[in-house]
Amino acid sequence: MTTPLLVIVAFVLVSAAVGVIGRGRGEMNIERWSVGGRRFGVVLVWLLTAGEIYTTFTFLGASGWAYSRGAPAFYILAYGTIGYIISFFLLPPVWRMAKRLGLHTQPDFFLARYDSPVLTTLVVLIGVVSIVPYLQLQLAGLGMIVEIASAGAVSSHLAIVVGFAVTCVFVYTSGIKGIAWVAIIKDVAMIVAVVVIGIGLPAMYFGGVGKMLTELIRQHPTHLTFPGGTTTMGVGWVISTVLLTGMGFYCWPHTFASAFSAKDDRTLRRNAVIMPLYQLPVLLVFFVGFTALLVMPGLKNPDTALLALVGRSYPGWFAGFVGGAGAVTAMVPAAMLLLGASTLVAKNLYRPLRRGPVSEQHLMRASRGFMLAIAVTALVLALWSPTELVKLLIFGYDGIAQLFPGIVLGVFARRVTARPVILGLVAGVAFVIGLIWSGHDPFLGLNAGFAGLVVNAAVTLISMAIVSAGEPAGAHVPGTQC
Amino acid sequence: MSGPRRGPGIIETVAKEVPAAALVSALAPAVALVAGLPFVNRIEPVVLGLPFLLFWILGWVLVTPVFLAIAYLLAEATPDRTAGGASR
Repeated sequence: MTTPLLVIVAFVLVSAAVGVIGRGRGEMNIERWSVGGRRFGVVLVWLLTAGEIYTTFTFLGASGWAYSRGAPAFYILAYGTIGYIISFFLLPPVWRMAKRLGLHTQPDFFLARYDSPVLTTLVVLIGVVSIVPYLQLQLAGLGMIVEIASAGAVSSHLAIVVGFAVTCVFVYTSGIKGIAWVAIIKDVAMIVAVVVIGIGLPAMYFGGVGKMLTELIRQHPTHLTFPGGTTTMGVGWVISTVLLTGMGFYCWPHTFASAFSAKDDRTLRRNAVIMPLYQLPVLLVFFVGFTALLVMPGLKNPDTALLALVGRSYPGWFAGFVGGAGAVTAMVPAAMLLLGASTLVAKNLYRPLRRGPVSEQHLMRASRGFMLAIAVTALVLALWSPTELVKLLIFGYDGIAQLFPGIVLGVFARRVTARPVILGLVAGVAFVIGLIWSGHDPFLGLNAGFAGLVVNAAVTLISMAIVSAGEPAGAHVPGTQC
Repeated sequence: MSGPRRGPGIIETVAKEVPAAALVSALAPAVALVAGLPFVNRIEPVVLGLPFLLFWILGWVLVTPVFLAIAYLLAEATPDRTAGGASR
């Protein structure tokens, strides 16, 4: 076993142990396993939010795109800020609704607001399907880390399977509270790793970040403006992608749910104020990708740029530390996504389908079953349909951002009923799928998901106007049962 | 617990106005960052060692908390603030 691999294994084992200890005593039920019983203090909530923000995407995906695409990767620095600004207005009213009506999940919100089982089912399906590429991304990242750290002794396929197994064991043993504690280790390790390599690598090879950038501009004059190393990702693509992903940021079932676990609405606003700063490490990750491009050009898989450069530049134990940080950075979000998605399916899809009472134990078992099914789906895709890490997350956003009109109108527009939202959702999703399958992404220079969102919003608003026209002016529109 | 449990009526009790000034303050950095992109898609001038495009994006990310803090204070200063805080 190589030194880096040994350090990574030790890192992962310690993290898993913290997860098991952190989950606390007592019997597990679905509420505790999935939402921690809604008793989390501000610190734990903040850790969970932060735990979901830095993922393998930030670590390997962002450096990979900085390496291969250049400037289009800058969207990653910008979109979180747009998302937090939207959350400043969106989450407090959602929190107040959730508090008053005792809502736990995103589909709960849709059911309460629109009173439509059809729409609720659609929301669950879009949520789970969009999460799969996000999960695939984490598994693929774990696989790369293990493969590179073992110096090729472990094949990439085997490495992905190992990553999958470790993540599943981690979720089964820890539950959400255990994972929240591991998120601390993850964030600290991740920040330390990113600061050291983001400043250290440009300094090591070029004597500083400024000099590295000067050299990059000299060697690749078009790399740092749009469309960078691509032909299709111009200004229009970047703007539409920033808007799509910014609007989608709080549409994920797990990010939306931060409005449920917070202590009060004011906390959500305060969080929104400081969260943009959480995006800054991405800048350092870009620097690593740029340095890698100059030092070791021509890598077959750009997503491995960060790991390859670290492995070449630092002693084995530090490369192992970076790999370990990366592994936990994939495991924690993967575990959270799995927990969130399986809970949605169990609570909002499976339970309503079963007539009659369903026991807590039964639901818990079902939830674990669904978790395995979702994880296996992501595993199969990671093994047989490998895609760039950043592209995977954008696929996820193409789907999940389609919930945005329904959420915003649901919170701020009293007249909207379920039917227009359903029509918009179906039209938007169908349009996106059509564009991607027919190879029209980007579409007219815009991100296909954004084009779908425009179609979605237009259909929703037009059918809203038609519904309203059929009503006497000022009449109260009752919740339509679909 | 009062009010309807389902349907659009649930908005009634929770909808709350954010003052226009807070809205403007919070949205300003988002609009500026995105709307500026077509005009800043260039290397020169290099600021603090960063190509101008990267500096532009980074700059707005850094000052967004200031704009949001102002919006937060403005929202807090709105008198009907307590309406939604029934839980406290």
